[in-house]
Amino acid sequence: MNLVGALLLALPLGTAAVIGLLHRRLATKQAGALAFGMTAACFGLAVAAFFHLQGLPADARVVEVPLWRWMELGGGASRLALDVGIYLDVLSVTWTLFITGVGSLIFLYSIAYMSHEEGGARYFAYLSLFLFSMLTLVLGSNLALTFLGWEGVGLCSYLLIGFEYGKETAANAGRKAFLVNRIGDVGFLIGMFWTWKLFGTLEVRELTPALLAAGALPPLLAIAFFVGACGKSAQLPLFVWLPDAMAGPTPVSALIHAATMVTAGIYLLCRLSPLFAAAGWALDVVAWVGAGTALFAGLIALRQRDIKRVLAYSTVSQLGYMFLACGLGAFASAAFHVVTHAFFKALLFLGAGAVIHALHGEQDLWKMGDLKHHLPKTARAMKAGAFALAGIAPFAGFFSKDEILGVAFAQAYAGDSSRWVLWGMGVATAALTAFYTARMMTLCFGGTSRVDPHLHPHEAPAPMAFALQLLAVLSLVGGALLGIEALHWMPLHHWLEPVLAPAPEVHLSATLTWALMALALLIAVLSWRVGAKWYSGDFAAARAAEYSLPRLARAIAGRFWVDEIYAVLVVRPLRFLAELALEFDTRVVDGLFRGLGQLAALLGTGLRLLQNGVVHAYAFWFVAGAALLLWLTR
Amino acid sequence: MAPQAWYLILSALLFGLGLAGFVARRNSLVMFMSVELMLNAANLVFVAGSRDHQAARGTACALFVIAVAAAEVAVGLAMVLALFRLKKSVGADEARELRA
Repeated sequence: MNLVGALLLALPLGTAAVIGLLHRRLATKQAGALAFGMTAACFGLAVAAFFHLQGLPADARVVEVPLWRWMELGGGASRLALDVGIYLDVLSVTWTLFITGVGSLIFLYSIAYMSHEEGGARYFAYLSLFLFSMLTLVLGSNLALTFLGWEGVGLCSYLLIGFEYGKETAANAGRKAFLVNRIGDVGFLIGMFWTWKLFGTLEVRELTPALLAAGALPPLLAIAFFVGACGKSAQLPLFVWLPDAMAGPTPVSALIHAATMVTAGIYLLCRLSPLFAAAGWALDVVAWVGAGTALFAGLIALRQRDIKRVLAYSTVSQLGYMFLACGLGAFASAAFHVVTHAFFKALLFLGAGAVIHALHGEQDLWKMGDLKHHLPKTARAMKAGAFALAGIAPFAGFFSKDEILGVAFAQAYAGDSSRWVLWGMGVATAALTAFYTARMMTLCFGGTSRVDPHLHPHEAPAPMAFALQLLAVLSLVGGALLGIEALHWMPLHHWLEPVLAPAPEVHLSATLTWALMALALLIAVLSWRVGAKWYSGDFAAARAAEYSLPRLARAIAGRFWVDEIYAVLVVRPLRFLAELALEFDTRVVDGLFRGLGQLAALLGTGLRLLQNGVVHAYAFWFVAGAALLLWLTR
Repeated sequence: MAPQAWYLILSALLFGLGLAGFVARRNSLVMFMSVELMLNAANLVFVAGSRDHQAARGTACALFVIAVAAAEVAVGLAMVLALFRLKKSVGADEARELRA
């Protein structure tokens, strides 16, 4: 197991180094094949780790692989010793499995997708580095290593969003993602320092029991980590970077900005679930922010024209669901939704990539339509993903989403009246989700064709199609395989049970559970039908209808002006400050030194007059100097 | 025997004469001679002091000054000669190429 753990980090890092150093020599195909081989090997290692853990007794499923001493800080009571080590437990292995599993499919897809692009080898170097960072984040044996991976994925995200750095939008989006994530990172850092102060350790192995034994903990400590999670997982108010991140290549959106990196926040919350469970009102904040984000982003997704932006906002919205689940104390349900979401959102993004590929870069839904005849395989695969996202049984998203809503309902039913609001927000979001997913699918594949007649859309090449099919199968069966609450079939929950804070005990009767499932399904299907009907008819009428509620429609289309609010509240004051500093620098600081220089030059000009080459003048000054000395020493 | 003060007054006069000549005259040979005059004014003080104190050290200093002055004359005259060859004149103002 030691070798498995070490290889899980060494392979991606080595591949990134090799491709990175040789990226001018390697063709895209070669780099892609190397990177894909590495990812597939990592998936194999993850599976091996999974079976190894499964062979252990349920409460001892931990393998820690210490590698070397990283650093030793301070002395005495405040001593901090950090080791580099790999922590394989049920939680980290779950994440590793879907990161490398979904990851290898996306790597495979990328080989075909990037074959026409410039700098394909560089792309695979970044992608491998991302995989290394993500695995460090998940598998690190202490919070400092997790933070290292946390920053690493941020860096890779920046590099990959700005992959086409010649395009200004891409470069700006990369910078925005990086900067917004910094805000979250401050929270993570504060939380880490505070934890060290309280417990004297950052090792997961020591921290989890310490947190469990601690009793009540300061809510602000949990909030600090939550701020970090908000940045990475794009929650209100730090979600603004994710929609812009769609400027990166589409497989990157699928891997980083939908399936894996954005779930890092949920991972952190799950890892620290004992802390959150013991931190008083912090969990309520998490729940409300999650539900708010879900609803808010769901509303914005209704009116996006760019197919990738619809998916981006739906990702923000689904992440909101996961945070809601965490806030309700149901960390296992959040992890469940993370896994199913990884399947179907990766599928949807890759499908969108296939559509964009077929239309030579067109992303505008207004200019699509009736593509199901041209791209039948893609359409069929994407439909599975769309049904999963919309929460239609028996697709994966239905089970995980229904479970979160079920928890909210159960807590409300048990007497916590504020939970009714959360449940209502969740149900409303579910309806919105089905509607905008149906809208996107119909605008893209159904209705009448609005495609540029010069284009001849063609089906995606074999590796892309293969990845889509496999993900479609996972989106279909992934949910039912991992957990059906009503049937008490919950393998994922039992698997994760030992490391997560226990969910609050509230039980619903079987009838009520079934009724809730039926209700959720009914809402999703109805909403889907309305959306599909609306957009499959006359396109001009549907488009006109989108503008029929002027004020609300404009607010939604303008994404509630969040970017503008940021511009006024943050960007402009900062820019003003920067300009002030610039003025100070050029005028005062530079002026000072320029003045000193000019003074020296002036002095030189003056003294030059003395150096006139006339011997008599020298003689005179010599005598005058001697006289001065005599007078001074009199 | 003349009192000590007289020698000092004579020395001061000679020194002042030399200084005035050094600063005021343009001819480099004359400037040179003025410098010699100042050196010898100093020598006069040394020798007079030596006799007054009945000690040989002042005289020894005077001998050193004469030796240094001789060396200086050798260098100085060579420079004047070089100047004359270059400019066909011994006017100190002729050479001002080193003006900044």
